Amino acid sequence: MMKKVKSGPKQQLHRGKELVVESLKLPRDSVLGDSIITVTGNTEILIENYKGILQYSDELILLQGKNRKIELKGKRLNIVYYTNEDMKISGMIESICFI
Amino acid sequence: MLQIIRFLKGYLSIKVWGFSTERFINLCGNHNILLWDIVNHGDYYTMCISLKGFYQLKSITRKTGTRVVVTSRYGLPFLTVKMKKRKIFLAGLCGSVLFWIWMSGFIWNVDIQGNLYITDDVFQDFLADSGIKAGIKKKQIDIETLEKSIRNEFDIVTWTSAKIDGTKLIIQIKENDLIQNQAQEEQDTEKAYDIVADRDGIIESIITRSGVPMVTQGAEIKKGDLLVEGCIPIYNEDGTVKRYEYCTADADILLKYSFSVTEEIKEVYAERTYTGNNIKRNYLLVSGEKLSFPIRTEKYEMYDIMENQNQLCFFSGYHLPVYFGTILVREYREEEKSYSKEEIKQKFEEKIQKFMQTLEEKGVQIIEKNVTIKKYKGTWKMKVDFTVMESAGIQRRTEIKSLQTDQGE
Repeated sequence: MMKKVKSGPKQQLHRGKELVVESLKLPRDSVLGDSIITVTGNTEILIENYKGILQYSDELILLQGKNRKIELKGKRLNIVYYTNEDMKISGMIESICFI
Repeated sequence: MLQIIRFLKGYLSIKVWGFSTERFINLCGNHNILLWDIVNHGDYYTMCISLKGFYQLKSITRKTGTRVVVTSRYGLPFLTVKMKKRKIFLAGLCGSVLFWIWMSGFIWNVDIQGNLYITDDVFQDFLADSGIKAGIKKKQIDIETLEKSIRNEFDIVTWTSAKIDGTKLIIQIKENDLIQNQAQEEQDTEKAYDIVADRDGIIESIITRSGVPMVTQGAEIKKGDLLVEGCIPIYNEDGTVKRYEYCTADADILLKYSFSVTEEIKEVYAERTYTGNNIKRNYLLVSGEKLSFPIRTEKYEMYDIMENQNQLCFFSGYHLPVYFGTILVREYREEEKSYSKEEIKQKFEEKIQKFMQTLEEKGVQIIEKNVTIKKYKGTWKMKVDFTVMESAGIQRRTEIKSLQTDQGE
C-alpha cells in the first residue's frame, strides 16, 4: 500500500495563500513575499523584496529571500547600493539560481 | 541630484573587516542605513556610508564583531573643517564677494533711450556736466533732480524717466516732435522760398500747389534754373505789378534725365582658401590692458584675424568694465584665378541690381537701361546708361523783388 504523503500545516497555509492570491489576482510580491529581480543585460541586477545578504564575494552573492535563497554567480560583482528594500548589483552576471 | 544631497549631508568611505561582514551589511539595511559602492577586496570590504548612518554603527559593530575604519571623508560638513585650515583662501572668497557687493554700488553703464533730435553725444555731455558718468556711486544720483534738470535743459523733452537697473542707469525720454514740426513750418512761411533745379534734365510733369511755375512740361532745364517762384505778383488793372505776395513754393516736379554708371572688375583675382589651421586665444581686457597668451603667427604666411568681444555682465544688469573675448587667427592661401565671361556677367548683374534697388528706394523710376560690357587690358568694364524719372527741385530763398519795383516806381 502506498503511503500518502501528508503536507504540514505550514505548507498547507502557503498553498491556501497562493490560491487566494491567484484567484483574486493580488500582487505576489507584497502578499507572498516573492522577490522581484530585474536584470538589465548581463551587467546589472536590481533586487527587491529580500531579507538579507548571506554571502558576498567577487564571484558569488547569496541572498536570503522570504521563501527561497537566491544565488548570483558572475565576475567582478559589486553592490552599487544596499538598503532595506532593494539593492543594485553590477558586474558580469553568469547565472541566477534559486536554491 | 542624489549626489548633491549626499554631498550636502556628508558621507564617508569606510573599510570593514572582521567576523561577519555580511551580517554587518544586513543590519545596516535593517537600521535604514544607506550603503553604496560596496566592494569586496577579499579580506575586507570598502563601502560608502552617510554621516548620519556612521554614528549608528557602534551597536552593529559590537553585535557582528567587525571593525570599521574611516578611509576618507566627503561633503560639506567636512569642507567647513578643511576651510578652517585654508584661511587665505577663505579670505579671498569673502573678499571677492565683498568686492562684488562694493562694485555693484556703482553705475557702470548709462543707457539713453528715446532720443531722436538730441544726439547721444549731446546728452552725454549734459550728463557729464551734471556729474553723471560711468563709475559714479549709485547713492550720488538723485533721480528726481536728474529728471527735472533734463526737462529744464532740453525744451523739446516732454517726459523723462530715469531708473537704475543693476549697475545700469537707464534714461528714457520722449521728445515733442509735433511742436518741432510746427515750429519749422512757421519758420518756413515767414520767409519766401523758390524751387530750383538740382540737376539737368527734361520736365516730365509739373503740378504747382503754391508759387508761380516758371517752366512747362517738356522744357529742358539746367542745374540751378528756377522752376517755381515763391513770389506771386499782384497786378493792377493796367497790367503793372501792384505788389508781390511771398510764399513757399510747393510743387511736384518730375524730371527725366540720363546718366551713366561705370564699373570695373579686374579679370585676375586672388581667391582665399582657408587651410583650416587656426589659433584660438581667449583674452581679458581690463582698463585697456589686454591679457592673453601670446599668439605666434610667424608660421603662417597669410592670415586674417577675427575678434569677438563681450562685456562682463552679471544677471543681465551688472555691467563691469571688464571685457572678454576670443581672437581667432585663420591661415589662408591665395590663388590667382580669372573670371570667365559668365561669372563677370553675373557679377555685374548683381551690382546693377543692387544699384537699381537703391535708386528705387530713393523713389527714382527707371525708364530705360542700356548695358555694355567690354574687356580692355585685362579689366572688364561695364557701362550702364540709365534714363530715369525723379521728383526734383530744392528750396532756395526768394529774392525780394518788391524793393526793386518800389525803387522803379
